[in-house]
Amino acid sequence: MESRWGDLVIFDYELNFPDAAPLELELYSLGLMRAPEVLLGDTVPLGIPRRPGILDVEAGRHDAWLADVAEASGSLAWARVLRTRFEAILAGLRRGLDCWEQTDGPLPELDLLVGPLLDLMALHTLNWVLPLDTYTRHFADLLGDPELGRQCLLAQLTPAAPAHMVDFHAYVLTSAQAATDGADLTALAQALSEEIGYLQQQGMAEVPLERPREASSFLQRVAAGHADGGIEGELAALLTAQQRSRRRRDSLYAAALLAASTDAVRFDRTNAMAIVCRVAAEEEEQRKILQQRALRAVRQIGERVGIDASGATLAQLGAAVTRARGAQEPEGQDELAGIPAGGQRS
Amino acid sequence: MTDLVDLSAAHDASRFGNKAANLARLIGAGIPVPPGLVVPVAGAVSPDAVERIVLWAREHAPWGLVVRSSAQREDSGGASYAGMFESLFCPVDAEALERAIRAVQESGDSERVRLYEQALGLRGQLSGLAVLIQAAIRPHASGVCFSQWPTGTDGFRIESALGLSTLLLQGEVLPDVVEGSADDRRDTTRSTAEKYVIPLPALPVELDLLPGEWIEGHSRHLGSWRAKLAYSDPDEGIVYLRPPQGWEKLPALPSDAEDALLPLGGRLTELYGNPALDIEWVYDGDGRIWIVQVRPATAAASAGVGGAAPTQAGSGQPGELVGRSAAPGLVDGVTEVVEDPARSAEFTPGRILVSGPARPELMPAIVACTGIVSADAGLLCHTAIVARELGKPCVVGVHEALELLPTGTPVRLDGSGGTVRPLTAGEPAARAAEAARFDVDPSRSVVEVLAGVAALTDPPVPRPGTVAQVLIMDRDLLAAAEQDAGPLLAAGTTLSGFLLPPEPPGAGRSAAPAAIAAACSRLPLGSLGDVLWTQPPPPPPYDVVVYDTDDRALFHRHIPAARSDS
Repeated sequence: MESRWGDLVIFDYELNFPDAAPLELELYSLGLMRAPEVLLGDTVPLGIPRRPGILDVEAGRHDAWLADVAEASGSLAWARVLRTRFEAILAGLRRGLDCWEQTDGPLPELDLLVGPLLDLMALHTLNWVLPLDTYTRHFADLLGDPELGRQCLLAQLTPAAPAHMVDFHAYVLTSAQAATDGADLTALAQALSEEIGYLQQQGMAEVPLERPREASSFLQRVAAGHADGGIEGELAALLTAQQRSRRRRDSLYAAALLAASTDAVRFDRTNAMAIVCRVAAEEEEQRKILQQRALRAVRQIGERVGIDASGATLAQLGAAVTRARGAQEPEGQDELAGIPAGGQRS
Repeated sequence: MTDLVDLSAAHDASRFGNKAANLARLIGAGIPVPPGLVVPVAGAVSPDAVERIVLWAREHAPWGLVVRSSAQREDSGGASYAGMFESLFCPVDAEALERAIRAVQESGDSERVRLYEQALGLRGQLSGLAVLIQAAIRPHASGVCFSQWPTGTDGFRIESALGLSTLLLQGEVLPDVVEGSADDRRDTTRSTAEKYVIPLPALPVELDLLPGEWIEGHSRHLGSWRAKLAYSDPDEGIVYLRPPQGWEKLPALPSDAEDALLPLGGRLTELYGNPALDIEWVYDGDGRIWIVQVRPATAAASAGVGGAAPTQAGSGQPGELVGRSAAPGLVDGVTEVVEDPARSAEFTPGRILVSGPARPELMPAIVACTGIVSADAGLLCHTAIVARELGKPCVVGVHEALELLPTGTPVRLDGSGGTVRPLTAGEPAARAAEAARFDVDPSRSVVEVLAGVAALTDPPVPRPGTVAQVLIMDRDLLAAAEQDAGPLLAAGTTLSGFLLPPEPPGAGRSAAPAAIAAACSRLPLGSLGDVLWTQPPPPPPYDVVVYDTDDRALFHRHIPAARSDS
């Protein structure tokens, strides 16, 4: 994704997401721009956007930022602030989505949705900025074994809430079982298409499972595949596996804390690393769900304000929302009205 | 004034070297060869000559120049000197051209040439190096054709790569390989390598672009294309592109170009009276194949080509693929590739799943498999997270997994080491490397240490011999208890106590939330710190243990009986 070119580090999300809509690409590059602020409180944006999905970052700034994150990432105070911020961002984004998913009221501010969404995308950098090798060494030193150190790190990188794919699967199995037991298939399919259908594939475009008819066929196929029973057993096995993995995470954490229990500094670093790992894993899962849900909302916003969101940038969508809200744009006003600070302004 | 000769007239190998003389011969025979000029052996290159070459290039070389050696002994049957001398691309620019010519001339005296000649007993026999300057062709594909493969047969072998063949010849990319019989193409075999990069000679305007920009082109069989610039080398005038979407797995050389190349190879063998030639060719994407070098096949050249079996560097085990450890565990099994997640319900239980990017519909296969190899990268990719959650050994970032581990391949997957490799017949079953854990002596009493808020409401069932379960308090739990001690006090009916975190040196005893301290007795847990005991503490001796999920100990400390004088 990123390449070093002279004194630039170029982040090119077009490579990872060749079929993504411009707005979807912007979420990544503008989110990255905001990462120093969201992670470290540094209000200077990272880099200069070249176009949606491409960010050019001066190499010195990039390296200094990574070093700052690495240094902070062993601090318990930072870990706690990070977790608090993450929870606040999630709550804010859910509120924004709830507002925008109410289709019968007046149009809300786009920033209610886009602001926390970009902050969440900024946190998505946690999946590559963290010095996980340092973490592994720390755990290995405590536990006296490199293999255990690696296992401890991997265990801490398990989210507290079920991973979205597991949740999705459990939802599908439960609905299929209900259909087999005689519940109203149409209602089940309608619920599936509304509640989790958008998770089927990445991107803004409508996916088959968002359509109740497709969802119905899908549920019927799953039910037919379990005609001999076994859904309850599969659900129970999922739950057992999840409990086991969480218990293992806690056991390894207990062992690491106990090994550090005579040294307050190492104890606090262990505590900090566990928090950061869990935030990173949680972010990956919750971000995926909320990002997809937000893209669905953006598509619907486009329909409400008369713009094809699949070809629009955030600025264009913001302008369309502003127009639709009846606010007359003053002459010469910044076209990025409606986009929160830290967006594509440089 | 430097004597510059048009390549088509450079027949005299003693003045222009073997390579130029060979190419001149081909031009004379009507074989397509990129136009060029030759600086004869021992010719100093004056600024005036450089200027003349630049003027010539502006007319004949829109994609820049390639500056190559042409030695008298080069490309002969006894010694190919393949790769011994510099061969450089350069833009049409006087300064760059002069630098390239000088570098090629100086390469005649390099250490590697000295060692090569010493090895072949040729030292001192190289009597001069001419310099050949040709127009660069902007190729769709290029490569090597061995007109007789293996030696003494009527077989052929074509190796090809997208764009220039520079990376292929340096062994930095895997070639597509076609082998078969030249007469009737019977038993033709093909292997197509995954493409990562396309090196191309560039227009000056393209060299000014930043990575991430798009470069456009056209080829006869694939139509208009655009490819993303990954990197460029302004000194050589070359851009390195990422293959356009969908090209990664296509053969570099289209079939009609392959059909044209083989007869051309036949003509060359007739022309040289030698059935075994190494032919370097360039396909321009517009239906034309150019020949850029011909030399008699040498033992060294044949042996150096090697097979096309793709490998990724690993620990040395044959065929081992290296990714990243995403979920621990070692498992042997048979692979099953799931390319279409919508069909994952058809996955055979007990096999090892090989998959691309995660999608929720992949879950039935993830549930049914015994391990996962994923092309997805990163310890926090969704596949990795789910694998850990479900306890499946998993390696991520094996980019070629879908191609290299087809359904039905017996493999050993090492989720801890981050590797996967084919199993050989009769190989003993996998045994995981043991992490440092301990068996707990069943005759001893155990104080089990737990962590995590889940232990407050749902502690594990005590194992036989466990006399107490205590919860280690991290700073979070301590802060939460200071706000509201209720959950901890409630847990005091099932847990025996709470192990306090250490304080920094000089800070005194560990602080304890007042509400809990009032309800508990504070006593040490050996040397591990103070416990707020909600229940009567067990008397030593006992073992302090953290159990793993398999009942073995991750942490173990024996606390002896208190001495009577202590």
